[in-house]
Amino acid sequence: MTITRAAIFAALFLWATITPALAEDVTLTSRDGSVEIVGSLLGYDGEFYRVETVYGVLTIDGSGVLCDGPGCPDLQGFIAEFAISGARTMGEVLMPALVETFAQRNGYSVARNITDDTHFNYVLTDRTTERTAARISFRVSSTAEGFADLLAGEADIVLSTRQATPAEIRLAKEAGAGDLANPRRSRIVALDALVPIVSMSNPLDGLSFNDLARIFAGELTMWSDFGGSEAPISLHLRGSQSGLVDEFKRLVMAPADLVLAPGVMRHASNTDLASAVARDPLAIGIAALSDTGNAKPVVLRGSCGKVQSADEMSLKTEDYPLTTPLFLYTPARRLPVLTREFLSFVRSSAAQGVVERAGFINLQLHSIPVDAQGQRLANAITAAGEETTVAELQRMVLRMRGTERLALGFRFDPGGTGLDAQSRSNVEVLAQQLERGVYDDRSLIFAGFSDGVGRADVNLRLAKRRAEAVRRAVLRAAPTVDRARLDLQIDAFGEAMPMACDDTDWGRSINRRVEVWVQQDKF
Amino acid sequence: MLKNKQRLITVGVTLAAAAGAAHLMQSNGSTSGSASAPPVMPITAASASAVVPVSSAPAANTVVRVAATADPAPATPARIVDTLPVPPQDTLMPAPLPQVGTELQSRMATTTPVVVDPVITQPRRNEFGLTCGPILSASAGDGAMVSLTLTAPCRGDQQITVNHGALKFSAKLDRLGTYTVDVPALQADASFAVLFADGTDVQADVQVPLAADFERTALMYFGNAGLQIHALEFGADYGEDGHVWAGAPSDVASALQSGGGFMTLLGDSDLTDAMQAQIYTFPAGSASQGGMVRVSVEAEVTAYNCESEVAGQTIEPSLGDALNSVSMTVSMTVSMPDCTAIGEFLVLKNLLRDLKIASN
Repeated sequence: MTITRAAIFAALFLWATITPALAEDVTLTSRDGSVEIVGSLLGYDGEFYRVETVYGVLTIDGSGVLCDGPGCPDLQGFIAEFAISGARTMGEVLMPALVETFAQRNGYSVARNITDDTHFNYVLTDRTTERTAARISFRVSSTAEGFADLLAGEADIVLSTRQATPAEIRLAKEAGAGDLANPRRSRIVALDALVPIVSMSNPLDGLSFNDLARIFAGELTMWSDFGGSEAPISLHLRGSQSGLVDEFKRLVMAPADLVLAPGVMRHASNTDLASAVARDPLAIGIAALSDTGNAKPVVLRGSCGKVQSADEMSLKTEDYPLTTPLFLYTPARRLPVLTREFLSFVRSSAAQGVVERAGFINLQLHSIPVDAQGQRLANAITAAGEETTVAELQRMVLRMRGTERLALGFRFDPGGTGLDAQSRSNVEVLAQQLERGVYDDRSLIFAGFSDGVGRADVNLRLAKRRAEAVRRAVLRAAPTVDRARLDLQIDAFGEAMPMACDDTDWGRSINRRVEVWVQQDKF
Repeated sequence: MLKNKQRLITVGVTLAAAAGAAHLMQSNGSTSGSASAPPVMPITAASASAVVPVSSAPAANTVVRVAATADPAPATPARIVDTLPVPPQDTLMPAPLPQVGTELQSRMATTTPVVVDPVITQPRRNEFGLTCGPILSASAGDGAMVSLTLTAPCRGDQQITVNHGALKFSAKLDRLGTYTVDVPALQADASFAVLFADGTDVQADVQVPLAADFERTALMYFGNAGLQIHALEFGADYGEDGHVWAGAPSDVASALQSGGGFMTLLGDSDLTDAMQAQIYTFPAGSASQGGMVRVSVEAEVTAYNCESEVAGQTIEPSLGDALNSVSMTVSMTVSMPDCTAIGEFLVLKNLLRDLKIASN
């Protein structure tokens, strides 16, 4: 390049308008001298200047300009500083482990400075130059407080165990942090789930969805209601700011049209909750799968007898109804280079190994052979009857022969045709694999399923349309894929293989799904 | 398992020629590795340390590994040809040890004494006639613990630092210059080094095949930091069985019997500004019970540390490594509360990871 131009980006977002008049402390001049920007420096991320000017806030590529004035940053000594705030479920073990591994793999030594369990920071120092490269501060509180920190400009990465609420999305827009509903503002880093737990000495091992809601609403209060002793049930939940409690209310209480009983014991962390429940034979709590401690998980039973237990497979496929993806939210502003490197690291396979070893379910794609799907086939046979014919079942089983089911599922927002957050993340995961050629020269079958409510032929058509929608979304997310080597087929089996009972909303939404099967033989 | 019984012994020898070295090896081989004095021989000015593997059969072709020494002085031994032994010098502080070239290895391996132009070596001795050494021996025992024995008769009361990978702690030798300690092995291929204040170091390696069966998590800190690891095994509460900490450390034998863990406290707490370490070990490979062991760090607020920063390091298996065989070391500082909180404890539940134990 003979002429280097200053790359000037118009401010995409409005910053708080109550900025006091600042001294014009920097002058940025393009290397050929043709463009000059005067203003006060709002920030420098190691790559870009953010300057408040008479034209508004401008973001300017640092490589194209020379900085002059008292406000210019020390270019050599730049330290990436960013703040991580939010959910304890993620901030206690998972994120520190990811920061430490990121540092280790990128040639930084790590020092952790601790004020207390929920306030600490990491300093990353380059091993060869001994220069401080980053300061990452942690504030581990709750999902709700993480978003509050983002609104106050005190957090650059929010740890969240749920999606942002409409109120948070609105406030973030007003605060200039961008549209949190935009998929680019969030990424899923791991999967977790809500699991009812009881003490090891409690004989309870299964519970229906509806009974779980009634217990926490205070409608069922005695263990004798479940074949136990004549003793009251004590209820344990995380604190009211917890994203896990929000998810519990949304997924369990709201569908049953119930609200939480007032006498619930609240706990600051998953660890405290699991320890308290493990010690009390009369307790039941809602824990995170990542930390059930020494307590016993209770499986969820549908009224038709189908059992939902939380494990790696059922979380990845979203077959478990209380799966809670763990999100990282970032504001719509430029983050330092190292921060962006860290954010792309968390989705890498190296980081996903850490996720698994830290006790969470990772996003790694793997597949399950038909032989290991006995329970599903048993469900299908049990459900066969008036509307699903034997011929249709046989067609499905023949189609499944020689295939493996990929451990990822696609489900839809209740009442809508849009994919839910975990499924959108799955679209990306699958698209990446396609672009890498993992499934070249093999057939992928997008198999659509529906719930059993309504006419079978209508359901079959709906299921097929969903399968087509997912295939379209995956191809759109994989623009560079070599389509000549792909064979993406569509099939639909309607209500032929239910995963849950159709008598509840959540059961029906579990059944409305698209699965992906991989043909093991080359085509 | 002959291989495991083999112990490696580091011997500080005064070394100048093949004849002397060969003689020393033979004498060590016949005394099963104790620090017995070889025959008295004339003194030379140069000395070096060598690691001599001692096996049950003192083979003639024993390999002698020459360990690096602290002082890289050139090896130009002054030859003293004398027929009579010179009385031991008062050599409480031996001269810095010179560097030995690798070409000496082949010469040291010679078994027949060189008759013509003999150059005879003489180890340094203390005032009681004991060889100065230092000698470090390591042997693996139950619980993947390694017994270290250091003999340095010319270095009585000196302070040392023991290193095992990232693990470090300081201790003081007794008046006779001996020190023994049991250290948890952090890996199967375990190497240990003892460093003296003057830069001299001795090393010993040992194989600990069972190290992978033991989950270990460690905390290191300076002086009066007031830090403690607390492990609560399988739902145990404070003060109950299964609460393992410095005040109730358990030990290898009872841990192996009960299936629980044990705490190892390393380093001399009387020394100021010395590095100390606490290591919690859980025999995960032989666990009969599955469940969670909660591991926390407590920092007592004391008059020494209030309103200041306590520094240390944590060592845990790296989560970035699929085999969990690499340790991850993280430096840490803890900002202690103000001095009105003296006597209280700052509890850090998330500094060390809890151990998820699967039953076998």
